Amino acid sequence: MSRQGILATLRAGLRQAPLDVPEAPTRPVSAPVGPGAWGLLAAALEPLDVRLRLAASPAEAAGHVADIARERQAATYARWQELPLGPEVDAALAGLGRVTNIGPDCCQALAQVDLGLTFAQAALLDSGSLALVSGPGRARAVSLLPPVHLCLVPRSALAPDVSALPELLRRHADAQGRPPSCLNLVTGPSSTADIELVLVRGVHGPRALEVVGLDWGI
Amino acid sequence: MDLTKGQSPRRFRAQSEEACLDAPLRAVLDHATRHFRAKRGAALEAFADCEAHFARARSARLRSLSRLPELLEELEHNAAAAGTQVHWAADAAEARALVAGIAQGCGARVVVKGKSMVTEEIELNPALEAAGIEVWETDLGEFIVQLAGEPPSHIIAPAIHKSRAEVARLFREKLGLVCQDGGESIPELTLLARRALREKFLQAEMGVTGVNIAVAATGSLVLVENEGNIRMSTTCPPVHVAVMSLEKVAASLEDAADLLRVLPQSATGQRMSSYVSVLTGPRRRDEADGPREAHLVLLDNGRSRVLADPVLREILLCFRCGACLNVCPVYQTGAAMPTAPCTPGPWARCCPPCCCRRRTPATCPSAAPCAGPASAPAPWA
Repeated sequence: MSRQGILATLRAGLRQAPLDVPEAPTRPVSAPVGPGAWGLLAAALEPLDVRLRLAASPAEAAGHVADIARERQAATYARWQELPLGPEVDAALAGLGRVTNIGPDCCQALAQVDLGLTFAQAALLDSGSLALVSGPGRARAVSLLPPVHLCLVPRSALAPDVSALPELLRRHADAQGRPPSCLNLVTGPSSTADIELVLVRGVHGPRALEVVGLDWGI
Repeated sequence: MDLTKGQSPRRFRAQSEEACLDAPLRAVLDHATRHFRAKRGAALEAFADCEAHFARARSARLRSLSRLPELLEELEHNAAAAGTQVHWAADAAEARALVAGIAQGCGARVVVKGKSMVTEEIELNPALEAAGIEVWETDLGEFIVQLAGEPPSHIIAPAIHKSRAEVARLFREKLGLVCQDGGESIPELTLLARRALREKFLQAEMGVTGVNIAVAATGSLVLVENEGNIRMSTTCPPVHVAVMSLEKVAASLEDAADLLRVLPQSATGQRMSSYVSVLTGPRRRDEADGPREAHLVLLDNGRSRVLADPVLREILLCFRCGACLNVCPVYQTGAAMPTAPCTPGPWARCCPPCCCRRRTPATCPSAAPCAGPASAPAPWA
């Protein structure tokens, strides 16, 4: 009932006073992703207290992962099942307990984990935002519940800015053309300034974000 | 100042006078508005092609209003195709009944909420509590004002009027929680809230949020935040209910992206908020988390009537960045605090008479926070 009434009022309003939309200026062209891209990403992440570690090979990336786990004193980890370098990551973290029971209602289990590993399907140079597309084997909570989130960024994921979002969602659409059920743009660790406007990193989401760039043909 | 006092328009004058004479409150508001102005100013200075981006965002909003009924039907169709149950609410009472009905239908005993001015507008919390449901505001600022039993005092920083000492006292008295060192350090207080609410996120049967942008072409909902509480509310509980001010629809993903380019910069001076979630329906087959059931409540509550007015309809372009508050001389005096409307800015100036009847300074509408053309740095000016 309400539906018909609301739509009728809206239609009557627009009939009574039509609304013209003047042509918008064209969208400013995004700077192309060039040789300095990693530097731009590092510069965007730096003010968010996030350090970008670049790896030129799988072995170097695994080394970074191991370093991060040690520096953050992680005893347990969980990772997306679908992860570039999955086996290398597991080998690098062999001394830690891996939490694998990421089945339905995995939040309770993931709330006990120290380190969550995911990868970005896009990394926006303009803002340092990492786009995580969830799906089977890529649970949302892995990047949310553990206090430290480690995100791998393949070179192919680098993109200029948020104007890349529509294409990314379309690329990950299902057979019916629907975007994925959840895409998160993650820009730094969780944060708040709600008490006296003092910035605190780490509220409900992770208190730290770590980024490893995979700088080879990946 | 005590914000818990009655909200009757008749007492407006006395309460405003009292608020104006509240020196600590004025100091806090002065500090906060300066802070947000500086953040926004610095962000816009460094923002290449700023004007063109704002013009595109305005155009996206105009396009939405010019085709609002069709876009809402398209949104309904595509959201349903993604598995979201879509409901229409003509007014606050209908919206409350819908959300309470969904909560009871899923047997909810604990509900977690993301910050949402539209749920303030419809006075959702008392309705859920009356149904015997425990409701937790999970945005840190909203959590603090909920514990204090007060309305939010700033759209971006709801507990801006509370000092760390007051927050520490609230946590001690209402939750029995004290900082490890017994002090009042802000990171420690934040950690206490994290622990207390983490438990609630994992317990809750339902999460309630607002909506920043809904995309008609895909049926997706875009939610913008910094704390991760909205992600928690849409990841852990088995049911998600989004309550949306109906004009917040955007035609396409491109329009949504154009809006995202400017919204965080205008609100907090951030290039991008810590978390932007694009949600399309409930969790799908073989997915481990996310809600099993997703609902979208499209709230009118007077907005559809505003669209007919060629002058007033401008307020429907508002995307709630809150920037206008930070240049509003009335807001900064504190005079509007006793009657602070749930949504400030252009909404407060024009919409309360049409929409929310609560906390409306009926005797003096111009005391509501305003963004006149002379003072407005607001995106659409």
